[in-house]
Order: sequence, then structure tokens, then C-alpha cells
Amino acid sequence: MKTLVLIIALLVTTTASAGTRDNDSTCDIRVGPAATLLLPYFEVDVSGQSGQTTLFTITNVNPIP
Amino acid sequence: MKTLVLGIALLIATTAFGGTRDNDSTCDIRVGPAATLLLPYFEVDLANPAGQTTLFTITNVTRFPQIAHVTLWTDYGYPAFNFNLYLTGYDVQGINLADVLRFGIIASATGTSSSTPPGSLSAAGSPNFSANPNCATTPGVFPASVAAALRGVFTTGSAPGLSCERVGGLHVHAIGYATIDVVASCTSRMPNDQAYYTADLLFDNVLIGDYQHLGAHPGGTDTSSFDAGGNPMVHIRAIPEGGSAGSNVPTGLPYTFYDRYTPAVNRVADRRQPLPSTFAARFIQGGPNAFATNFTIWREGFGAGDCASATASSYMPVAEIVRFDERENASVYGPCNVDPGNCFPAGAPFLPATSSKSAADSGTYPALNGTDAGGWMYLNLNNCGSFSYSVTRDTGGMPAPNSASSALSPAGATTKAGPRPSQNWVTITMFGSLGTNRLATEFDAAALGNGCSPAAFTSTAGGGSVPIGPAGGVFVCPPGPTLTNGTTALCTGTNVNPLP
Repeated sequence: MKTLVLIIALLVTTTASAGTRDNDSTCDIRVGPAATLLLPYFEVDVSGQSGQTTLFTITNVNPIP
Repeated sequence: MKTLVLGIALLIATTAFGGTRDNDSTCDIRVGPAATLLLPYFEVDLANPAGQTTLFTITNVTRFPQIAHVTLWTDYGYPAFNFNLYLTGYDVQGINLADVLRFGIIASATGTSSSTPPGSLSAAGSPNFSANPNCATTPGVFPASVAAALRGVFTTGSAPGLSCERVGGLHVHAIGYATIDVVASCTSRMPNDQAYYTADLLFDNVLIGDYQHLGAHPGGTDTSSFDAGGNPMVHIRAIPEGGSAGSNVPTGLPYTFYDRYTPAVNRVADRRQPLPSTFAARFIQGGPNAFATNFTIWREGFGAGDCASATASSYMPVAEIVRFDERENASVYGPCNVDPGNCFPAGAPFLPATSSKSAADSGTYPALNGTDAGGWMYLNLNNCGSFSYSVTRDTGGMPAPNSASSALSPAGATTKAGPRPSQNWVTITMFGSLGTNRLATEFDAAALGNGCSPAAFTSTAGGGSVPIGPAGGVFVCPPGPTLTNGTTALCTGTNVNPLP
């Protein structure tokens, strides 16, 4: 029983402190390396009259292609 | 026993899924209601009404009135001036720093005090205000003599009564940064006063803010044409949220935004999220359209906000900068490994607490070799650490601050002193001319980790052994699956920050 209580205590501790350590632990959206990028809107003047266009750039920030 | 087993199962389930439900569970900085807003840089041309200025706006997104305590800091990280804005429910208040510094006008004299009639949806008061919030006479206008002194501080770094020669840089324009905190009363205390954390600061994530830079030139330069740029402020949340001023609530944060200024017995008293140290910042530079980029960089200084600290915060080393052009050619400014006891990298730049510089500035950034008109920079802005910084860790079941090295400053990392890397923020301003049109855009650089990430090591580009990439490394592999090629040898990354 003592072991069991210890396990429970450890689990509670882990739950309480894990949040600020685990970067996968949030639904918050930050600006940082990601698996999907959303360009919410683009607009291009296909007639070329106004020159309106949208540019976007994608960067791989790690050494592996 | 069955009940106990069920209890354990529930706890495991809570542990596994709790993260994605608890908005207090992250060091990541998002744009959303916060307890502190950071305006990383402001600049005001004091002589020319059509010259540079910075506007910022604070919005209370709740029905309860809030008191926003604004502190203006010099570019050496010295708190020079503060004022309060009483925001009724859903109130929005804009500030033009040219009005503040040139004319001593904060806002309409009737618009920033608790005497302001609230809107129909606003509550009458806040249960978190102190017994006497003292906001009935919050000034809209302050004396001309004070405005004159501020102009001196933000352009020359000197002012009557200072116990040191200089607390800010020497520049024609007024330059600095601002913090805005939720507080319980219209206090005149500065954030470098420890009593601010026991009597004034609140913990409600209720404010949002944005800013606009206007002017003929981008901040910190006078060579390029520019119209305007804007961005959200840095939204820094209290974790956990809530409680009265001075409430001593444990936080899981290893250290906090105001670490240097908090009481020695409780260095995480502000509960504010810390900021990261490594960033990926895009630039455009040159080409037929005269593309140009400014990096505006806010940096955590040294010491506790006094005169001596200002001097130390005027010239802080940068651990490492690597510029990649569009063909992945890398050029490097000195990694932080020359003196293992300190950090004075060969050839690396030194930057103050806030600055805005062109990405083409050869005294600050590695040169762009070749003909490409763009790329990105890896910015490890760690100032190599300080023993005035702390981390708080559990010691015998009690949280205890410590300034010795920790798991956030692993041996060999670019933190050479103290327990953690320094905090930073980077915004990017791109501008140029496209025919008769002007390009002007401002946005945050991508943080490669967060404020709870350990200090980065010198990269392979700078002669070290750790590749540039997201903090924690790649690949991060969930338990069970292999990589697509059937191996797990490269599964060395982690998304979990170590305890300090």
C-alpha cells in the first residue's frame, strides 16, 4: 500500500509540474517551428493591372532536408 | 483496492490529456489576453512632428475595470517613468509616445481615471483592486519639467539626481521600451522595487495590446524610406492566473519575466512567463527593389535596474549569429566560446537592452555574401548568463531560488554564468519599394524554443557540435512508431524541457 501511495503522489507531482516543461502540452498557437503553416488569405490581380500579389516564404530551420 | 486502482487510472488519464486542456501549461508566448505586455522598442523624434513616433494601444477584454501600469525603460534597461491607465470594462486606450515625451500628455485628462463614466457593459469595480485604488486623479497631463527630464533621459541617458553618469544611450531620438502590467492600484512604484511584487502586481490575464511605428525612416536608422509598421505587443501571461496582489501562489515556471527584480525569497513572485533566447529571423536585403530589413531586439539586462546595472546592460554580448542566404550558405559571427569563464565572443556584436538595427549592419550581423536578396538568421541572443538571474526548483518539497548553474545552463552551453539563458524578443521589419508602392511589414521572429528551454550550445556552423534547429532537437518520435525509413537512431529530440 505504501508503494501505491508513493506512485499516486508521484503522478500528482508529475501532473502539477509537467505543464511548463512539455512543449506539446498546449493548444496555444505560438510563432515557432511547426508541422503545418496556414496562409490565411492571398490575393493576386491576375490581369496584372494593379500588380497586387501575395508573397510567402517557407524556411526549414533544421539541418535535415 | 478497486477504488484505488480506478483512482490511479484516472490520474494517469488526467496526466496524459491534461496538457492540451490547461491553458496555464506552457511557456510558449501567444497573442492573447495577458497580465503583462511588452512593447519591445519605441522611438520618438523629439524635434520633428512629422518624424518617428510609436503609438501603442491597450485593451481590457473583460467587463471588470483594470489598472494598467505603464513603465517606460531606457535602452539600457533603466525604469525612468511610469503612469497608470484606469481602463473600464472593455476599454481601449491609445497612447502616442510623441505626445508623452514632447508635451507631457498621456491621454485625455478625463479618459484615464476612475472618474471616467463606464460603458453600459462595464462592471463598476474589480474585486482585485486594493481598498483604495487611488485612481480618481490619474493625470492626463504631467508637468513640463518632468517631460523635459524624460527627453534628457531617453536621448542622453542622463538626468538630474541620478547616482551614475548614464542610464541610457546617446541618440538624437528618444529610444526605449515599455512594459504594461495589471496592478491593484494606481501605484507609482517601478517594477525594480521589490514592494511592487508584494503590494501592487496582479495576475489576471486580461489585457491585449498592439503598437505602430510611424515615420520617414525605420527605427534606429535614417537611410531608408519607410511609412509605418505595426505588430501585437509581447503578451506575457501570469501562470497560474489569479489571486490578489501579493498572493503567494506556486508556479511551475522555472523562472519568470521579472526575475531580476522580484524579492529574494520568492523570485517567481510575478508568475510571468519567461521569454526565449533563440530565434529564426527572416530578412530581405538588396536587389532591384532596395529591399531592407530591421531587426528590433529586446534583451533582458543585467542586475536589478539601478545605475550600475544600466551600464552593464548597455553592452551585452550575443552568443551567436548565423546568417543563411537563400542557397543555405552560412556566415557566422563569433560563437560564445572564447573565454570559458565569461563570454566575449570574437567578432560577435554587443547589443543593449533594446535596439533596432538594419540586418545589413556589418557591425552587428554577419555579411551577406553572394547575390541573394534574402535568407534568414539564426539568432542565439543569450547574453551568456548572469549570477543575478535565478531559477526556482523544489528543494525538499519547497520552492527555492538558486543562482548556480542548472539544467537550463548545461555545461558547455552558451550560458557561462548563472542558472539559465537570458530572455529576448525579436521583431522583423521589412521594407522596400515596388514601383510606386512601398513595402512595409512587421512581424515577430520565430522562437526556436521558449523561455523554459535550456541554453543553446554553440552550433556546428560556429564550430560547435549541435546543429541549429528547434530547441530539443529533431527528430522527436512518439513512443512506438519508427521513422518512415524504419529506424529510430535519429529519434534524439524531445519536446520536454528539463527541470532547472
